[in-house]
Amino acid sequence: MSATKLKQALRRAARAERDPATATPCTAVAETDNGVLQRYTAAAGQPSGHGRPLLIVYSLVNRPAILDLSPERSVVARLSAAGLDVHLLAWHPPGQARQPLGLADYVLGDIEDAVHWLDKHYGTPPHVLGICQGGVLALCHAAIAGLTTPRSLTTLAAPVDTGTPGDRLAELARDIDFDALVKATGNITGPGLASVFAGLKPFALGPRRYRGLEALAEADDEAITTFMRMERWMYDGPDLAARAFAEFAREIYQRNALVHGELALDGHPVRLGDLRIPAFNAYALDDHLVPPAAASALGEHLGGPCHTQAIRGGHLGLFISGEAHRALYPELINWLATTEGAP
Amino acid sequence: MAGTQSSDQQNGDSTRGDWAEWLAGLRSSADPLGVRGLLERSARALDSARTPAQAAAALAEALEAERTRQRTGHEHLEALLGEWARTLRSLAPMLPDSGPGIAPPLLGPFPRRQALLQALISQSDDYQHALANHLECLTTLAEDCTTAYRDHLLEQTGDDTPIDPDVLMDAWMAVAEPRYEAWLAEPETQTRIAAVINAWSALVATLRELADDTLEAFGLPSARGLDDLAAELQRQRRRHRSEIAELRSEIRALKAQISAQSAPRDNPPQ
Repeated sequence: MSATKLKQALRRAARAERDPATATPCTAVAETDNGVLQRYTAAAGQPSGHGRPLLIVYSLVNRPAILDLSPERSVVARLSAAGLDVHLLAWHPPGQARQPLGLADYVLGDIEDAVHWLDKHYGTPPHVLGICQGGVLALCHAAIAGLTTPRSLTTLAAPVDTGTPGDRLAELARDIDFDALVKATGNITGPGLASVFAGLKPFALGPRRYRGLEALAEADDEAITTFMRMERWMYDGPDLAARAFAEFAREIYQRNALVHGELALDGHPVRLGDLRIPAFNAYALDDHLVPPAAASALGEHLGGPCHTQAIRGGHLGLFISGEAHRALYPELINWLATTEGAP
Repeated sequence: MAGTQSSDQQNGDSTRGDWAEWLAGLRSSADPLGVRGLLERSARALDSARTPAQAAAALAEALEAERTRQRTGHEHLEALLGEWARTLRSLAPMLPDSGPGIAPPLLGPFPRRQALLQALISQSDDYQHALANHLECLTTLAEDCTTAYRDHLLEQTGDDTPIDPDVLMDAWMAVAEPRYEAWLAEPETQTRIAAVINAWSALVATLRELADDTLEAFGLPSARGLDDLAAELQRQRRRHRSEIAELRSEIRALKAQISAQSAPRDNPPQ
């Protein structure tokens, strides 16, 4: 590795904007207790999607910037371009006063508020797209009786069945006392959690990733910006509310309560078998965070039809890979259109 | 106590500095289990290597330095905990609930304080033990990787043949990465990591409680007080949410009722 080129790349990286505006313009249209509902504006020349609202529920871990990292690999831009009116429930990171926020607050409060707002505003319930942990939250919302029912539910890399072999996060979580942990720490810090994820693949995310830096010395500005946005995305995750973190780790990763039908939020049972709206479930075949078996199990537990699709690549590939943008999103867009006629 | 501290400072300033640095590194939320630090040290060791022999020697040297650092840190932590225990023992006769031959009273605030202080000693010990155990296993893994790396390089080329540093680094990753991942998948490794986290949680919870006691004794805000406020806010928030849910449900029911009532007028029977 040339030291001169490396220095040059680092100098350019230091100058690159690390926190630019989203690649796709968006505006805040409503607020929930712990988030803001953002509406993405279709790019110039693209159709605007009035009448087909879609709500993205992102994970509480990391930030949704990965869905809009660059114009070429933007999930929100692709969905907007297909005529969907894309909204994102962007979570506010919890401060110390919100340590006691639990999963029920996010699901029965924020997600229900956002779905209800869109239903009222558009006169039709939205399609909901839940990502990673957000997929589990969206599943919980859709499966709880008495809440606003979405038109359809899509999950991307959602850890549904954590009892499948080789689920490293579930294995590591097995003997940890999460209630004691959050009693000691309060909210879980974003960097602390990032270090756990990096610890699963320290070589890939350390030496292998940074050896590519040299090539950035002569790359165009867009490549540098994308690299730095990814860098920020990996290590600048938001803190997690203490109680919600402990509940998720205990219920989903230790007790596997979602697939065992034992999960209840504020006394409301979450029964996947009662969920009969159309579902689309996608996962990546080399995902080390949410193994294929953990995500693909969803179809076996739902009471309604579930379209399942797998693509090659890792966790992030679902959002930024060429294959995802060539094959997965066009398929999803077609599938969403077929659900438009569903009651 | 002050005299003992001064004497220790005179005798072991340099090693204590190393220990503090080592512990500070582990405390960092960016590397709570020391994996990243070990990876960085191994990468740095390979930086100046130009032949397989140099690479293997540099890695072995880096790991030996890590082991020495751990040993020194362990000894110093033992010494500090010993001092701590001695101090608490010397203070104990001044407190009303302890002392040779005196049964601790059942009532009053002192038994709780004593129990916390005693728990702190055993929890410090548990944490130190769990951390040392984890780091020992991590370092042993790194040593196994170094041996495999040396063998791998010897198979590929002679000991003193100059090799591109990038190739040396590639070979190190090819050898170490699968071994690391297999090690992480072992239930024993997972149990050890959980033991570090659980021991740390118990230790910090007790420290927080003692710190809160002290702050509250001086009439200052404590973390416990702030937690209580947050819990109160949460109760209000949940009540508010529950009321909104009830209102929405009533509105839905009313709409359904209105719709049912107006249906015959909209669609009169033929």
